[in-house]
Amino acid sequence: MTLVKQLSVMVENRVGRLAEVTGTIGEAGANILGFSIAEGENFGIVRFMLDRTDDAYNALKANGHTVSCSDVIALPIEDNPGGLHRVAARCAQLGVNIVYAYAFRKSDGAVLVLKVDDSARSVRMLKADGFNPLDVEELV
Amino acid sequence: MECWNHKIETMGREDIERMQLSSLKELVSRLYDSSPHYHSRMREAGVLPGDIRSLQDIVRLPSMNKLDLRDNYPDKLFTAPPEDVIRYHVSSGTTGKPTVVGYTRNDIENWSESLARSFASFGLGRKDVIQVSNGYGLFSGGLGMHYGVEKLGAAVVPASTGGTKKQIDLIKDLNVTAIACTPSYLVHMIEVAEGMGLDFRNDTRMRAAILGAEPWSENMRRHIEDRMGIKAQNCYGASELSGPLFTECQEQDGIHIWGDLCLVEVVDPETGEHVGDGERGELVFTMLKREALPIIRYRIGDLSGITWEKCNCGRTHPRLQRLTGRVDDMIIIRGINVFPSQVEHVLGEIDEVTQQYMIVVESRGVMDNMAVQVELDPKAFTDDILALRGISSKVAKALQEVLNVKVDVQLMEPGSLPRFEGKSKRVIDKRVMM
Repeated sequence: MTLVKQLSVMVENRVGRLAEVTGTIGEAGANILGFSIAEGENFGIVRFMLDRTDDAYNALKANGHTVSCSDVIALPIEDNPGGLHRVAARCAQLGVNIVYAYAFRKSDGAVLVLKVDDSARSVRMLKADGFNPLDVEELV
Repeated sequence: MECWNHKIETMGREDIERMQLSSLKELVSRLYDSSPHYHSRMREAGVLPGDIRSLQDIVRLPSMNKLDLRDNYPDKLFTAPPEDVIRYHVSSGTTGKPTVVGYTRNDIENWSESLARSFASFGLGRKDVIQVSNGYGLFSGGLGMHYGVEKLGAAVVPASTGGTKKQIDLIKDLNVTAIACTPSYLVHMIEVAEGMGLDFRNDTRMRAAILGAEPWSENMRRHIEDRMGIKAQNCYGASELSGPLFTECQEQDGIHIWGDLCLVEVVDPETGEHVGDGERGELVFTMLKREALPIIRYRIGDLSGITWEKCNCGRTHPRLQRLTGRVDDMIIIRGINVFPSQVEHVLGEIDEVTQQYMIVVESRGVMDNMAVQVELDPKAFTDDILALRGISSKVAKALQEVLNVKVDVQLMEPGSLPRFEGKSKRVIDKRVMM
């Protein structure tokens, strides 16, 4: 099974708070591959895909940030019109429910990060369907 | 001016104070002789009944507060023989035991007298039909108002709380002319009536409302008066003092405190010393005629001032100015007392959150809204937003069960709320107080 670790950080809705989080990650020597922010009333959740997840996790914890680690699927997608649609349409057919997603571009193509209801089952089905979820080495 | 008791309500300040001193001396002597608790409190304070020679000497007497009542649960402070007690009211426990207030026949009589004078002071009388929509039962609001209305000789409709549509039908069908309830309930009633296609101004004979048990604003008064075409009168009281006791007269310029029944001091909350005439401070009440449960120099926690200036209505008794807040952090939401300690206790029982919290109260439209912001326990943080929402709901449900008030719960990042050294200030009240 190919799942990737992602860090989620609870960030108070206050000017400057995100910079404190990103500063900590930078000082830990971790490179942010992709990220997204989900906004709430008094806090947001910032999700990071990183090359050195453990280092960033420890540094965030040590600096008093509220952080959790969760599994997501990183799927390479075609970087051309219809690229996202082809994945979304297959997920629909396979009955894979997407909770949230974000995407980023790397030198050799685009990556779609997916949080799904049942990760293990979804990875199995996607693999059987010819998709090739990436591990962290392949992402960097 | 129509007075319920013209002689007493219009007597000069000197005469009132002479009555007060005479009642105070009698009260102190009685307590010293018949109450072991007060006897020892007075000995500790080094004061004997004979030391009370003027009203100023009252400062030599020990004060009491809610803790004295709670610690002496249920009736250890009572001084009347048990067979003379004819009623009990019980106020809900906040952090521990509830407080019990007992009444003799004279206590009920004086309570009703106080309200009858108040009702008459804004024009109510025998021809009125007054609907009491305060809660009946252990809470002193419903029955207190009820007896006051009967004393006045008006007809009482003992509607109690709830069943708003039925209440509105009764107002119409029984030609109700005045209602006693909380201001927020009356606002709710106005909305329900509109939904029923009823206009209080044209379809009923309503002309007055007696509103209290929670803070309300001048805006809210105007809203109610405009929408209902009535006079909305502010009412003051507290369960320890009996229940609802005093109201504004038709001038709506301060609440008349009947000096023959009740002596109010205003003290500096820090030093306990009297403030100057007309200055604001903590209210201290002595109920001069109470028999079952004596209330003497009771520090009630409300901040306000009194004036002895003669009212335009002709009445001479001191008037209570607008309340400006509380000494402690107690807040009143929709007629219900809420102590931060209750919130803290509930939060302490829930693993997913910490006890770092703030309470934010604001007026939403004309209703009060209470929000509790609480820091999440870092161990409970998850990437799953639905799970976080589930934690908020769980906390909200637990708070509502204990407080009897609907609460919006907002999870906060650990460490994001203010920390306090010494006395914490966990309540932000954005309402305009009345």
